[in-house]
Amino acid sequence: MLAKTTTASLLGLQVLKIDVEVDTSNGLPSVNIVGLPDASIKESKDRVRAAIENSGFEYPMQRVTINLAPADSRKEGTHFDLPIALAILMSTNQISKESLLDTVIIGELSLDGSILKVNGVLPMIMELKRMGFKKVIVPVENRYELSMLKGLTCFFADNLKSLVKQIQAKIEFEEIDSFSLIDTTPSEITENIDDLSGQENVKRALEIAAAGGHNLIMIGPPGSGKTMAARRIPSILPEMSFEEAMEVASIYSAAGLLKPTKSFFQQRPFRAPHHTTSAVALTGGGRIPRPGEISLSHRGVLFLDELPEFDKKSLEILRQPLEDGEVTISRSAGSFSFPSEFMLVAALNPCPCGYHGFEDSGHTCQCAPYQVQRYANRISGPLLDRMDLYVECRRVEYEDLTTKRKSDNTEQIKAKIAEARKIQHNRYNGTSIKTNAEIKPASIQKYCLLDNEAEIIMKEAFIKMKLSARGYHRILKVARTIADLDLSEMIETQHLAEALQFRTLHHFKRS
Amino acid sequence: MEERDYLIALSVAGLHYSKLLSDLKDFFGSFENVFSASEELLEKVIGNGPYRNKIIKEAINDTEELQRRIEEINEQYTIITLLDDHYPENLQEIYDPPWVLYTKGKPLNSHPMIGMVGARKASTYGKWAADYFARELAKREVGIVSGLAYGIDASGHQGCLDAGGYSIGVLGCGIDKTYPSSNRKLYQELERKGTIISEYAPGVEPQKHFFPARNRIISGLSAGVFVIEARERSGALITAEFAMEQGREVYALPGNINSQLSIGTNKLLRDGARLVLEIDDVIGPIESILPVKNYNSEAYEVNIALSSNEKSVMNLVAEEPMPIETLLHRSDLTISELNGILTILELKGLVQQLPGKRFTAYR
Repeated sequence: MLAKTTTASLLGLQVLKIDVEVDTSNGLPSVNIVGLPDASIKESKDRVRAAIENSGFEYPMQRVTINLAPADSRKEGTHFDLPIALAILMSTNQISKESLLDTVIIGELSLDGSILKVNGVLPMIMELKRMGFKKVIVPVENRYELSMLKGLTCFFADNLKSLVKQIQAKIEFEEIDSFSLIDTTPSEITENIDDLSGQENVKRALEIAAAGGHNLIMIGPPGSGKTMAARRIPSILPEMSFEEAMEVASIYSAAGLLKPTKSFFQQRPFRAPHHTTSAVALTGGGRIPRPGEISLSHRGVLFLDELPEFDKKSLEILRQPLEDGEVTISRSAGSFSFPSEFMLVAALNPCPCGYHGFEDSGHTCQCAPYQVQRYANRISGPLLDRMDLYVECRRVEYEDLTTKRKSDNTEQIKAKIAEARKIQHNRYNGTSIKTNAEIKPASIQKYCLLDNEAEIIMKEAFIKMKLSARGYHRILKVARTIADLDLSEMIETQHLAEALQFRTLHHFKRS
Repeated sequence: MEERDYLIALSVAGLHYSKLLSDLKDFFGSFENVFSASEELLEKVIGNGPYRNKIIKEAINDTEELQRRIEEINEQYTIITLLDDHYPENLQEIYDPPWVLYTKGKPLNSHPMIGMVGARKASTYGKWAADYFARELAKREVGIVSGLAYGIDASGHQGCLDAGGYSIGVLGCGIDKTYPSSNRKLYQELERKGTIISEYAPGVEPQKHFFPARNRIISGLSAGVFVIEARERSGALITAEFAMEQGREVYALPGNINSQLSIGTNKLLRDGARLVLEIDDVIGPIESILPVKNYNSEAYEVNIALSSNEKSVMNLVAEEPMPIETLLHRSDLTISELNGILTILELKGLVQQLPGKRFTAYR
């Protein structure tokens, strides 16, 4: 007899509605799964048989054919266990065929019948909800992933036996209330920009970078607080909007990294892959690709510490995603796109020993001049072109720590940044641009208007500071952000003058 | 072919040792005779180093090929020989002057020059001083001769060119080579605004012992040699020694006695080199040859009006090179105001940014 349940497949971030069709007919007992299943789905038949039997139901001693329709797309994942099991139970009339109409079923079975959590629940349910499905059955451990989806009725299953009992008795789906399912105790913000005492210039650079979504590069000797500064960027970034949070959560869900806390859905991601990370780990990969570090930092910060130590190939691969805001990976299973709109923050020493140009603190640079040059040259020109702000970090001195000066605290900075982002949002309404960092050279004239006095300064600076055409554009974009922070329509002299302090450092200049 | 052509032919063939060329000339009477001399005789004069022998033999056997190469060289470079009238006078005076000079860029002239030499791995202080004094000299129409190496050499050339001055770069390798290659930009600029010279024919690879040899040309072309920074054993000191032998002024910049990079210069000072604290210390001893007499620094300074904030930053920066955070603590400006003011002061040429986001006042 034929029975059908509905589930979904996830390839990359591409979701397809899948119908699980089970046909049981007389013949030699056997089980066949068709519809391009991968190894994890093929193994499903053994798990399903054991789970059904161990839950006290009957597994048909018949010829069982399982089809995953549409049959022409590849499928992977263990979440097909539960829909297959339920379809088998339907086809053998152990549950009624009408009981699970229009219901999306996702879950992995363990041999004793308990239902285990799976990856990618959020993107799958989001897409099927868009198609009009309102009822879902998901593993109880995945429940928090659905906490922000409104208008959905769910059943959270923890084992097959009680699930089937429920279905037989007429299953009751519960509505979810946003955040009712997750841990809402506010996360302790331990890393706070106020900790950067004395590093006022670095703090200011972080503020500008965060306000305009600019990529930032920090150069300084060991122990000058580059890493510490970078880790504090999320504390001043504006909270994610609902849509942004959903995008991020989908990616994390697909990667199996979603965390059941409220702050996870609010604070922007911060990823700091180690410099031994391979190119594939950065972009994402696998036979059916999973999101890599650059997609995991979507809408957040990708921090590359010790930039020149990264494999050259890994760094070059960042260029296209930085430009396009998404990364496309082609594999035998198809071509997959992952979003990757992130802010790149890089930190590096000025030379192999770390003290070139920072000799005053009692250290002398041990490197030959060509070593210094070669170290800087490890980062290619095109990648440097995508860095908007250059900032030098210096070791903190006693005076810096003991200063009585008051500077803006986290909350004030965060408020200023939120305001500047709002201005940008209004200005770029209706265009593809979201932040100042994304202004293309062609539209710089349109958005980055200098007042007369600033125009003169720019001309002078261009000649005296030997700016390149690219350097000129970068300065204008940064000046635009500084003006936005100052709530100014035009870029005035002081905005431009400040932007010029974050220009390309001499030893990174390429002719 | 004339005598000059034979000389160039020998140089192009690879005989760039001026001592050896002198010996050949003394023995045979002219370079032309070298080409007709017997092998035994040649061997007697130049010793029987297999390398040199081979060069000479090849040169003599294939004069046509040599002539073709010389023509090729003439297209791109200007060749000056000791036999020419316009050979630089001050270079002629020295012991062992180079017989052949290959040059590119502007023609060599009798512009007064100061040789500026120092460590390749220079400190920020050294680079600053090289840049500063080169600029000041350029303003007084005194050019800079140096060796186009990293560090002091590069800063000296660059400072001079930036201030609109004339500079000569002396190479320790073939004129067509760029060594070190990372100075390519400086090479190109120097070729446009100054002169690059070498006693080595195109194609000659740099060798260790070429560099001390080219130092005699640096000192030879200049009225005085200014050592900015030198370790205890340093090529810059070789240049200073040449300068003393050639009767040129030797200047040295005093440095921190704890700094490795100033041991050489401080020792030079102890041994009687001229101490340089300000530009007049360089200018004074060579005043007689200066094109611009009575240089009035006031007249050249643009009268710059400063706001009160700018003045207070200037006062702080004038004390000592200061990182931006220290400036911030000692002034009552916000970081964004301070950043802006520093840019304006930089553009006005009053303040210079050093690595590590430190700022120092231009004097």
